[in-house]
Amino acid sequence: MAWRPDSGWSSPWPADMDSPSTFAVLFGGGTAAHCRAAVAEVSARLPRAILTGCSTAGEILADRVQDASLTVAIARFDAVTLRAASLPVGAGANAFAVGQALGQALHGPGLRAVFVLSDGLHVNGSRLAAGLNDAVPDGVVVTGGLAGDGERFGATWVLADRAPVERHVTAVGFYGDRLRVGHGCDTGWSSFGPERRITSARANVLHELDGKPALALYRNYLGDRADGLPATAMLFPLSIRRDADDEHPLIRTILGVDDASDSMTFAGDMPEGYLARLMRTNTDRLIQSAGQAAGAAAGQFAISDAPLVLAVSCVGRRLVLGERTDDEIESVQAAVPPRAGQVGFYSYGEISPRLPGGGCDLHNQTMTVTVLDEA
Amino acid sequence: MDGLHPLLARQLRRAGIGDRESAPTAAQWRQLLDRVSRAYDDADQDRYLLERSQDLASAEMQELYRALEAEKAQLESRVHERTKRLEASEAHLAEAQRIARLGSWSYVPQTGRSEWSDECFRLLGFDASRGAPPATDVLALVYPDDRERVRAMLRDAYRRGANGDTEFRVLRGDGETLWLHALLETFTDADGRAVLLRGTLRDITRQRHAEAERDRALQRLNTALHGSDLVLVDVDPEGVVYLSERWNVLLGGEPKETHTTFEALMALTHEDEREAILRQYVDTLTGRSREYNIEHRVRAHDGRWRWVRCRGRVVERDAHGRAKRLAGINEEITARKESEERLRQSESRFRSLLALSSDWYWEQDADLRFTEVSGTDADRDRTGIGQFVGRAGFDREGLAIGEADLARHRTLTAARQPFRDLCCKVRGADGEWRYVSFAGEPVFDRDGRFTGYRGIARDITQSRRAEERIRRLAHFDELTGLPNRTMFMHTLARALSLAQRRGKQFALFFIDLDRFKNINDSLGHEAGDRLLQDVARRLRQHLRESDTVARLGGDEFVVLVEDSADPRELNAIAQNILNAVGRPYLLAGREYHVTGSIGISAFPDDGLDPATLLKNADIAMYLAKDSGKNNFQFYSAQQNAHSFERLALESSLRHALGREEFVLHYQPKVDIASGAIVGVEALLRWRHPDLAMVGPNQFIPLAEETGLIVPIGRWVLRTACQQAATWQRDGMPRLSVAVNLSARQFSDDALIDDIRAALEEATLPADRLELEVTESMVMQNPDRAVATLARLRAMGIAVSIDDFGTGYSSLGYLKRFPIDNVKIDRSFIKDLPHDTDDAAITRAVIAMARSLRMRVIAEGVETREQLAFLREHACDECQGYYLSRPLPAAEFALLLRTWQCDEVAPDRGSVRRGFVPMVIGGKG
Repeated sequence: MAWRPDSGWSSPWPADMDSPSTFAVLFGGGTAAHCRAAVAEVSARLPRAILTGCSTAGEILADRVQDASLTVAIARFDAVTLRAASLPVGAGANAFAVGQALGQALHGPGLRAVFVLSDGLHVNGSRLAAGLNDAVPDGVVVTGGLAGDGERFGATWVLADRAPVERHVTAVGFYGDRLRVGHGCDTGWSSFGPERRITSARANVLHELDGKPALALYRNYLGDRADGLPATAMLFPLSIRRDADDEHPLIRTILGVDDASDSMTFAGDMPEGYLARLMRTNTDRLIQSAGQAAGAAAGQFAISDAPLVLAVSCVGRRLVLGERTDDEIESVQAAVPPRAGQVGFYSYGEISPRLPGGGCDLHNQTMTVTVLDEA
Repeated sequence: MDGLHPLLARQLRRAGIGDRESAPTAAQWRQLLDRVSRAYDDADQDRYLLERSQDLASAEMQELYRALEAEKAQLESRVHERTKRLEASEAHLAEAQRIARLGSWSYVPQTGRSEWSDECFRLLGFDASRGAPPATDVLALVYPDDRERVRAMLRDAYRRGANGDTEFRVLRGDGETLWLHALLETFTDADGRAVLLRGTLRDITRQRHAEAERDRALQRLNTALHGSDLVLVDVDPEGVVYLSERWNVLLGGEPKETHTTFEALMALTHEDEREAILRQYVDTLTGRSREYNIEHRVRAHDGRWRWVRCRGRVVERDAHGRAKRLAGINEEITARKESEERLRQSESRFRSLLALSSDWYWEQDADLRFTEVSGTDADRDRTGIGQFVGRAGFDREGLAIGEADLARHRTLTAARQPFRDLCCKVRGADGEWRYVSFAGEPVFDRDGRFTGYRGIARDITQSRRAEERIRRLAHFDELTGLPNRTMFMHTLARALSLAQRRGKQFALFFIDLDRFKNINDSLGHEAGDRLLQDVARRLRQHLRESDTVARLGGDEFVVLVEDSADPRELNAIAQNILNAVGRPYLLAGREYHVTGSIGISAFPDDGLDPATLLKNADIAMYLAKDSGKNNFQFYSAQQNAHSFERLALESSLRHALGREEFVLHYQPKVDIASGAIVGVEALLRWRHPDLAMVGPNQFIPLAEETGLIVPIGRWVLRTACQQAATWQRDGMPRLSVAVNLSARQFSDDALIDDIRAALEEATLPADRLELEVTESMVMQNPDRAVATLARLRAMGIAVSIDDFGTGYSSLGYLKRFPIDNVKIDRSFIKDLPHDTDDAAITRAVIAMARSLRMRVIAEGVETREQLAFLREHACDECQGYYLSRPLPAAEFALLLRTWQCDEVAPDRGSVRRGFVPMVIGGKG
């Protein structure tokens, strides 16, 4: 269900949903202030439930995307138990340590999955994912994403202690044998052109490719659209991989450019020595890939007819898809059972394992689908 | 809506324009159009993306292509480069062959085709342009004696596929004979047939000639060795040694060639030299040193050591540079070694003798020119002995030598006789004159010809100077250079007899410096000595040449003024002396004032013999001292009158204690910061029945002199302690009582016991007692003072330095004493804050005392301004009439009860806390 400032809740509040095993996830378009009242209402109606959520660059509900709403999905588990943990991330906070601390906080008997939502602007998502991997046992599925702020990149929030706050990371742990969790992650982008080596970069700030200023190279790529940097750079993300033998490249979207230092800031680490390659796509491919991600997530176990589907897609995809964004969402829905409840959001970065059984990673430009179900 | 594009269908749905037949509203239309328009934009973007991607892909391809092109060009350039290098190396090969005189050739039997290198043609004298000649043409050039050998080699190659290696001579077309070395390699097929012959020809004519020459040389060498005592040695690296026949002769046997080993040879050599031999041997073999050259001992057959000199070098090395043969010559040098050793020992004896003595060794040639003077250049220059080198004799400028000495020396040398104790003075580079004494003897060669003198020179400056000094010391004061007592008594006796004979008069001035002891004690003996030297100089300057000035010892000087007894004249002279002595002295960077006291006696009125005159002048001098110092007095018989007065005072002083005529008055010490009374100084007063109150200045010196100060001091200590204990019992605020110690008390062994007794008697805690001593007391015997002060501190008694600033010690010097407080003398406080010198001194004392962690107490504070100044400069405590005069005990108790602190008006704009003392009893 969704709440909009003009029309209120899209459907009546269901009864008897509140319990300690109730998982309520809220995705809000707009500032913390904008959503505070609605969040408070949810909190009041579900005093015992575990609440999580974040700001978005578009809320996904069922088969469509909308903005400036507060989309809520409530799942009441039977035997699965839940626990939430949040941590602030001050300036210069070590994202790895934050991830580690959250993982340790949630670590416990029966932990099967973790759904993490992070501040989208002040956290190095790669390090956060690494920290989580470090702290949770192998086999625990960690998915989630970085909160968004439309196309504004101004301020993001997550729900911590039932209130929207900036500069926080929050995570929910799912415990119990009966939890079924599936995940899929696909991009629809393909690399082209020659591979270049990252010769100068610090964390997620890229300076040089093959010894030449990366920003100049990008301006050349963008041609007459270079004026629209950094937004237009979303159209040409980079795929990076450790070396020629690394078969699972990561996608890195541009967050910003700095003409003064000739540098570009990416939504994830750009390690020196990695190989980088330009990527391209078109709408059909993106739509197709979303369906593949959902198919992968739903295909990992015998699914019931009404699982909870959490879709985290990249704001970059939405920029490319435009009017056809709904097609991507429909594509996901087509791959899961008809009664599945789908919510999600457009993010500033997706967190998910690249492959089933692996540790999670920060991705860009993907559709990441998590299917939660109780056997 | 069937058949519509799904996107359009969804857009219609979103706009709310479903299947309903009703016409869309304007808003619905606008929304739809907006969505459709955006879809077109998206499509445009999608297309742009595609196109741009294609453009970029194509551009990237171009870039790749360009990179490939560049790589290709680089490859081509490398191929070109390699080709050029190959051509160059071929040219090099031909050049190398020419230089090595080495030709190469090949021959394929199946085709009959042969190829020769250019050098091959040149060696055999064929024309290269005609191609390789047939084998028969070549064989025709070979010397008949060698021809069959060459032919056999070729045959074996054809038939058996054998390789070949032979040397032969050819007679070339130009008539020249060449030695050639041929190497042949044959390649065969599976059936063993030769398919390729390849070979080289090398011109070895020169080597052949060289070998022949070497053989001849060897023969000559053998012949030569045979006739000499030299031993030929030949060693191979395995250590097999050949020694020619003289070796055995050297060892004391018959002429016989020796074949031995290196080890066996080493066993014969002296232990001390084995290591060096081995090292040289290895170094030579490895090429580290070019030549083997060593002298060592070998044991002869009779068991005696023989010295051998061995020289050799590696004469042959293999391809890897390893030595194959070492050859050389051994020769016996025993005789030479023994004489060398004797010479060395003799030389060494001589050197060590010379080194042990401070003498120089010198040699002169037949013209008496100095050819050698021992010692280092620096030493020779410094002492001036170096100026003799290269010059003849002693008769020249710059050399101080007695005429008589020189004449005697000339006589002796003319007669070629030895000489000694020829003394001359030379001046060294250091500007010092030195006495040098020469002794020498003539030298004659084997034929008895005179070749010069040689001998020893010795620096006798020290002994000369010592002699002179001893002479002077007997009659003069070493410190001031003035005549001493002995000399003066002589002079006095002479003056007396002269005056008696001629009926003349003369006067004697006895001068003693006032407070000289203070200077000596506080500034040290060096400063005291300086002062005495200055006084002596001034006396000398201000008296006539005919007057005699002498120093009798210590700070006592005498002046003998002859031919005068006129009191006015003597007055003037005395005043002149006082003025001269009284001028300030600069000691250790500071000015000091010292005065003198003079006693005068005159001949014949005041004595007829030297001793009486001197004694009476001395008595008069004491009179001057008693009269306040810095004056002069003539001897007079009335001096006793003064002594009588003193006697009376001394008598009443002796009774004063028994008659309880002494009282203590108490003056508060106030903490400047808090305004509280923190201490009190006990001050002694004498209530004389006839003279009313006598001040301490009047009777303390007498008490010191008579020793009465000790019982008086003890009384003061006890009384002050009892008073303090009484106040303590009466509930007065906590304060400590300060007692002044006299010099006699301070140096009294019983001091500590007296103090302990006083404290116990009064049951006063030791930390309530404070003792005040003066600088000079501490300085009189610093080591003892440190010990005493340390014991006082151990008891918990604080010590103050009283009257600080009037002595000569610096505060820095005081820091070695365990002292708690410094009292700035009242003379510095008196003119504060207007006198800038006093203000500076006061500030400095406060600052320095602070840095030494001592408390500072200002004495004699009499005005508000003084107090303000002291407060501003953070003086700790003060004492003086402005606060309170010294009070009898009862009044002091009253003062303590009524003493109050208050705020003082703002001082120079800043508000300060202070106090207003209630002045009791008014100003003194």
